[in-house]
Amino acid sequence: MNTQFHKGVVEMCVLALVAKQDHYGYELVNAISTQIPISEGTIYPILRRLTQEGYFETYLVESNEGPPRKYYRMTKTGRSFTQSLIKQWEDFTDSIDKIIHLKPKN
Amino acid sequence: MVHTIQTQQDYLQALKKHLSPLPESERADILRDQEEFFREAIANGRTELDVIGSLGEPRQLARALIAESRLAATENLMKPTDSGARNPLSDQLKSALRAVLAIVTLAPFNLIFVLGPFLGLLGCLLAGWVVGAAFLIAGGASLFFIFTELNTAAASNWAHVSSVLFALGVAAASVAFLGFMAWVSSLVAQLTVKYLRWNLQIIQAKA
Repeated sequence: MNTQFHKGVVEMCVLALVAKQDHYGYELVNAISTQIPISEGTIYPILRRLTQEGYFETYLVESNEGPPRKYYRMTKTGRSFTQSLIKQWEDFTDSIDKIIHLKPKN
Repeated sequence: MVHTIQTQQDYLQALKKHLSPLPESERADILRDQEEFFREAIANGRTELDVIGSLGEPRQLARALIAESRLAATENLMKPTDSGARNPLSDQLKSALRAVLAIVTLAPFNLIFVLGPFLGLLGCLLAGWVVGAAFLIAGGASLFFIFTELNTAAASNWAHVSSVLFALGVAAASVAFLGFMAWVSSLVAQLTVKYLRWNLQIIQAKA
């Protein structure tokens, strides 16, 4: 599938993952890049943007393996934004499904 | 460029250098994130070279981050502040111009798609403001001269009344026109930002 299509959905995947539970950057990169073939460099800029737009908050957690990790937590605005995005996505895929499975008349 | 970058240290140095247009706090934050990315990837058994390859050229990454930052700054300026006040229009347009320049640097074909049209629009806005201001000055000046003449001539006739009304009309129309220009200018700033956001998404999808 083409890369433009993949990139468009990465933002929604990031939002959906953080909506479920707090994550640190590499976890998100890993969770997404194992499912969708995108360059890993693209996820950090998306995280920065979503944070700047007020959808995420960040906090640091000490880790055993060295310096602290930055975790992303969803804000209230982030949650309602994610819900509306997922709703749009489901409406969209529903209509595509209908078209794909359209039975020919007679 | 790429062949000179062999280690994480090289990569972060290069990225830092290319990010120099950004404020220090933002730059430090980005570098912190990239270091974390290297650290986690290496802890997961990957090599530095592999990570460098997956991140792409530092200069291009820096350009994308700068464009993103400039655009986000403009979007923030457009929003009303907490007290409901709006930021000055000139600041909004200045910030939009910075975003435009960053996006042109990121993708040179935007000289045609972004910079040209934007400068054209700015030119039209400037012309509108100049015309409005000129009529306001003309109307105000005529009123001033008519009244000074009224005093010296100490005569009132219908010619004076009609010229006073005409000058008042010119002044009022130019004030209305300047108000309209303010509205158009802020509309241009807002549409520019919407267009840049869309443009940036397309560029990033192509990368």
